[in-house]
Amino acid sequence: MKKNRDRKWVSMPVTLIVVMAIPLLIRNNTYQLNIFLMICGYVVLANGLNILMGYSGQLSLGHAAFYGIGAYVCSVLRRDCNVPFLVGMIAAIALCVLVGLLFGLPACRQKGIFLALITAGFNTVINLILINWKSVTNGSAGLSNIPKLSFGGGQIGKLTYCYIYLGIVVIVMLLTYWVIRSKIGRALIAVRESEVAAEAMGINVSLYKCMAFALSAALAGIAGCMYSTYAGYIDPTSFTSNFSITVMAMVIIGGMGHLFGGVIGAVFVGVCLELLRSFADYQQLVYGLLMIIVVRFMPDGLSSIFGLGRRAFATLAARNGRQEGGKSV
Amino acid sequence: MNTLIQLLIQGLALGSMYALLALGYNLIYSTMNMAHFAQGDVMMVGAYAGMIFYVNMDIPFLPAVFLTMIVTIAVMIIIERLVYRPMYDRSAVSLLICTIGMSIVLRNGAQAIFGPSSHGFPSVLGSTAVSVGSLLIVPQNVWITVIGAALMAALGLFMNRTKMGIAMRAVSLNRTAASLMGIKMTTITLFTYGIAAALAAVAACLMAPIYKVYPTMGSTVGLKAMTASCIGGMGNLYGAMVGSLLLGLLETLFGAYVSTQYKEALSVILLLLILLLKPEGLLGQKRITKV
Repeated sequence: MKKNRDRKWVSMPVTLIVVMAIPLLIRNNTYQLNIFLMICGYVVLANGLNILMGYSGQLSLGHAAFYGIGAYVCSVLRRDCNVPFLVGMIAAIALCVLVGLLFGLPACRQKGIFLALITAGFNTVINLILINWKSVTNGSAGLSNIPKLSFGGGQIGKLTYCYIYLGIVVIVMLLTYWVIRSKIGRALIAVRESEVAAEAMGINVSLYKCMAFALSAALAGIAGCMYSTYAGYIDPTSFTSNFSITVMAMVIIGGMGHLFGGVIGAVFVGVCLELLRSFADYQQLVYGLLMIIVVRFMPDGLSSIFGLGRRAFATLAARNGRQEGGKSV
Repeated sequence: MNTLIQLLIQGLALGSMYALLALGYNLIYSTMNMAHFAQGDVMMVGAYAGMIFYVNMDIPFLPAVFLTMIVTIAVMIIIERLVYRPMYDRSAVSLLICTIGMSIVLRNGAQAIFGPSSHGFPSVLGSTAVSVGSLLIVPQNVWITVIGAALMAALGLFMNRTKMGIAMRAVSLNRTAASLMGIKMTTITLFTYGIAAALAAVAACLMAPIYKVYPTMGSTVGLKAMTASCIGGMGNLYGAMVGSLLLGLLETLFGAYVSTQYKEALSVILLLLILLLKPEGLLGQKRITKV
């Protein structure tokens, strides 16, 4: 057991230092800096969906809806009401949590294909609202001229942007770690493994499922704010079920149910999307194939390559003499 | 009044097209206990095949439909063998994710090969309105409804009167017992996927003249067909028919009388209502599972 702990305390700070060095290394390449910012957003988004899909076991094909709600709320407030970024983010989180809870109420009774259909349907409805509520969202034309981050009236450089977004990512990761390690996280894992047993143990399954929806919606809202602020322009076509499936692919490829599953998947899929940008037709094909291959051959996703998957931990724990079944960080 | 009748005919035609997909979907769900998310995309493959046979190779319509059936059946069986069969003993969620992945692969594969723009498909059954008395009726709507009804009746007869159909129903009730009774699972799987694929092929050939052929045509219709199955009752073939016809009718009426912009939302609202009020579907039976 000591071995596991030591490894964790060394590898995490090292990874953090390496990641913090990346913006410095690419600081002259605006295109790469933009990709860095985009991947930061994807990391937060995938983390949220990982809580919902990986830790609670609720398949969701509608996550782009919360992403869109967060992006639009933040954009409209900052663009038309001159609200600072933090307040805009808090408003986006609040609305996303509300909608997440409202949506979680009927959704928490569904399983499998019914849940998939109802979440996909939710995404369709939100997309329709974004397209047709022209007075607020400007319809299909989208919202442009969204103000970028600024401190005290001055524009900030791309490098500072990167570090601010990285800071948000680190805070989100710490928050996720805290939630997973707490009573809430344990309850969610119990719900995933066996709802009936969890209910029998006194866990209010519906409550925790709604909580999972609300939490993942909040993270998606944060990601939406991040996206709208650096992109400067948003329109409803970025928030369709197609993108929901992309985010789902990130979580699956990265490793469902592992703490860094969302991060690894987001980075991988984000980089793939950019590398394949000239072959636009093949982007989705690649990660569609990857999804099938990963689910079939590597259920722990790419996390298993880093020895971080559930089974890896189970083997390590067993080798160190503990009686633990498959568990995640 | 006349508009209403015309809309009803249009709605029935739309519902029949949904029904052909929903039946295949329901068949797979009840026999194999799996939700085949990629059913709509198999239909899309059939549409492209039909386009190649009918438009590019100038084969007459009926033989082209049969050739399309062969293509879709082949595609389904290959997919089942390569992708789904190793996943049957995994969790249901993993299998669902596999089917979602397959849907993406089929859709984008078609896009990579044929390009994202829509291809034309000439009308076969008559798309210009004909006046019958005081009504303006589009012939293909009537034809689609009739063909759909005929296929539904044929499927019903198959499931109730033939040995293979009864065997499939036995498998949907209790897989182990059916297998102990001497029913070969491989044959059942073949027939289930084959029938589902054939129905999807017919749906493709009926839909292509109206909606044209493009890579994402399967996804939206597939989702609606799945929603219709859930509304009517998953695992129940009559439920699939009722749910699809109902959805087709309500959608057409909603689009005409209430709002065209939010037409897509109707299926979601109906699904939500059914899941809240009668989760097993309109014609479904409550399932009590022992823990």
